[in-house]
Amino acid sequence: MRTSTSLALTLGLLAPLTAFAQNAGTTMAGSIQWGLAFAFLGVATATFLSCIGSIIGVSLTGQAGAGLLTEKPELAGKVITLMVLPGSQGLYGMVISLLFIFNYGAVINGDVVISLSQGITLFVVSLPVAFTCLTSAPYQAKVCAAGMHMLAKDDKLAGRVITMAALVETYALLGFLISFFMLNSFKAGLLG
Amino acid sequence: MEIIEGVGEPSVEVNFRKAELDFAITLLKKFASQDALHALRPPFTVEQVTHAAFHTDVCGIIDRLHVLGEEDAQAEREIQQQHHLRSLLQLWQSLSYSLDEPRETETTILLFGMIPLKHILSWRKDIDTHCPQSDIHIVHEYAGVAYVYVIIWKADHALFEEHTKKWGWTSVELPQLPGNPRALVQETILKEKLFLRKKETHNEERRQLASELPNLLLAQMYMRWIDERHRARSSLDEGWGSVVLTGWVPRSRVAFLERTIQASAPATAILRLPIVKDEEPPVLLKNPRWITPFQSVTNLYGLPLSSEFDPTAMLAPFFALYFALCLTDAGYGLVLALLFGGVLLKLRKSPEEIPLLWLLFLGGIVTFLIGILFGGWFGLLPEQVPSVFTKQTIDGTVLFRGQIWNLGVESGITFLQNLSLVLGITHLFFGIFLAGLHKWIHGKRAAALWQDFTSHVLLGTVLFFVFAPESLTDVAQYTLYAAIALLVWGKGYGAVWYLRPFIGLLGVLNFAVSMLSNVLSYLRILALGLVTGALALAVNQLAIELGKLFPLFIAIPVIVVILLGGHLVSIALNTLGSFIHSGRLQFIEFFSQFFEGGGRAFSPFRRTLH
Repeated sequence: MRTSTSLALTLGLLAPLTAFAQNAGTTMAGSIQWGLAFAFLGVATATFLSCIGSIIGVSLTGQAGAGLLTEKPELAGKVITLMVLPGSQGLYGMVISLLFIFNYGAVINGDVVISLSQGITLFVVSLPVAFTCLTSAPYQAKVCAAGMHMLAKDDKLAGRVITMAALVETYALLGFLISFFMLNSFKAGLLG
Repeated sequence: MEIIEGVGEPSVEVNFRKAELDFAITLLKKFASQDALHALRPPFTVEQVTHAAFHTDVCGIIDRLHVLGEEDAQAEREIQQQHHLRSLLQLWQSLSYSLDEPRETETTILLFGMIPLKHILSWRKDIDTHCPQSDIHIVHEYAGVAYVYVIIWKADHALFEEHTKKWGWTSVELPQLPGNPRALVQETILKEKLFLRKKETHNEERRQLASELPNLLLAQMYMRWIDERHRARSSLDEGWGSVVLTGWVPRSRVAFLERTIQASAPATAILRLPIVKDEEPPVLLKNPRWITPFQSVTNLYGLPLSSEFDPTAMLAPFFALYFALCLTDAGYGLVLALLFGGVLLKLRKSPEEIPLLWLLFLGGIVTFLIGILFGGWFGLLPEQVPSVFTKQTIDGTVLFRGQIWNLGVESGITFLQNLSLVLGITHLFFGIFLAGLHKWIHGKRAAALWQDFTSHVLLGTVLFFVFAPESLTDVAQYTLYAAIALLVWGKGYGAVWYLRPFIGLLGVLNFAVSMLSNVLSYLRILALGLVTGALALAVNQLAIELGKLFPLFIAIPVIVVILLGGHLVSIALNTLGSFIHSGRLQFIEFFSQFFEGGGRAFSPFRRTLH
């Protein structure tokens, strides 16, 4: 498990480099816009890392849920609700990426050219959401898995289990919050 | 079947028979035919249950299953033994001696063993040197090992052991059975077949017994009734000339209960007892018919405590709206509404019986209506449909009829983003209001005012500050400051006066962070809404691009199959995602403001027929 997690993390960190491979930062004239390339790297990082966190998280809760459902199939609704909780982190990363794609149209189209430092800034914008989601989803999954043991004993405790699991996600939300505000404030400064 | 009845504790006998019956049902389900399994579907009638309970030889079936089980276990043991013996003798089949021949005389001893082939020559030389009167025979060679037997002088036994171990000798104990190994191996094969056939015969008998499965299930139901009756009777306190029965009755049914009991037994008194400390009364949700389907969402989280609100009515409009906004496709909504509407029409069940299906039906209708406003129609673009279904705006943009916002352009996405955030703020402040209301109702009015309603004062002043005309800017600003000060003082409620500002400041900080993070969590509506559209668009593009690869007469069925399959998968995935995430916004963001949950369901004493 530890090996696969490390592999996933390494791949996740390297995967956004494909943004360069796809000539994301090349203008029509052929010269490389490093600022735009870094911005795209940030967009890719936000979704990649947060989704990897969710993949690990949902798979962990899925394994625990499958065990519980073999014993108590009537708890399917509660188990699926718990299973999906670590999936939210992937959505947070995706929202940041989507907001960049839709709100920075002028930058993507080349109407507004951004410098390398501005591109790096946009890359850094993605880091809070990417890393908090990557790390929080597996830990939240552990809480959910432990909560499923609670559910096996007493299904009335579903509400408390969900609340406990949500506490871990709070910190992913804080990362999301910072990335969201950074993205918006940078847009205000760059595009007006 | 002998039915155990009587007053008092459920007997050990009843529990034992229940366990035996469970065992028989679980076992026979594995052998039951499709017809027998089909007959297991509830609901059943009371007559069916009682008839089956009194006319089925339950004990006979259970006893026979136990006998078959024991015989199977015996057969399995025999099979294992034969298998073990065969694997032992397999490599000694070239040995022509019968294994029951004596292995020891007055002067000699016969030994069986294995030795690595690579050492066999050295070992022989060593033995010939030190035990010259030994006789070595190689029976078989396999996988680098030689299977040998050796006849040695008894006097040389210790010397043989000493010189043979260093070459990797392993002694083998062959069983003393009549016949040579080849004949014994054949015998094991025949015996194993015999026992396997015996097990198959047992399984055939179980398959025949499985035809009684529906009757066993009904008998199990009858046993459950008896158990529940025993439990209900255990609540009876018998006095010298009276009997006291304590239990829970829904508040709305008390009058009916009084009338019914008075009619049949006039010398009966019904007393309402106060709830004792630490006693948690059971909960029965009762909502208007159109809200009942949303009880399935509340049940997913857990029932409210008896002292809490039933949150179903409060979450219903928000849940339906979030579900619709997460799908934002009128076509998908229409499919859901038609699909579940058809199922409901066929089943003819009330929302109390199948709330989830009703919820998905209602969700489909709301999605259809909301989807029209966003112009989501199976991922189609307005340019791809006949002009009769579209309209042109003043700026020349082509939209679907009824469409107001276009999620394909920045303005539409910004609108959905802002809508998600506004809905989030509304939802959260509504939750805080409910928390205050709950405190107010339970007599904690000061706590409600300071801790909860000050947030609404702040919200009001923020709105006033934002929308106030320029002439009132200063007033709005000072009002806002006052509201913040009020909130700080309010959040410090409960602390001593000189610590109240500091505790309040920490409370406000916590409030601000949690509000911000909770509100942003509602942006998942935007994400899911866009994902639905993107998936639908991808399915359409895939179908068209693949269709281009084939001639027209093949392309049309290919496109139709891809569109049907792709959109069905997309509907299933997105419906699940929308349901779960709409529910999650209730459970985590909304409920955390005012609701704890964990109540015990009211489970009345009655004959259940499913």
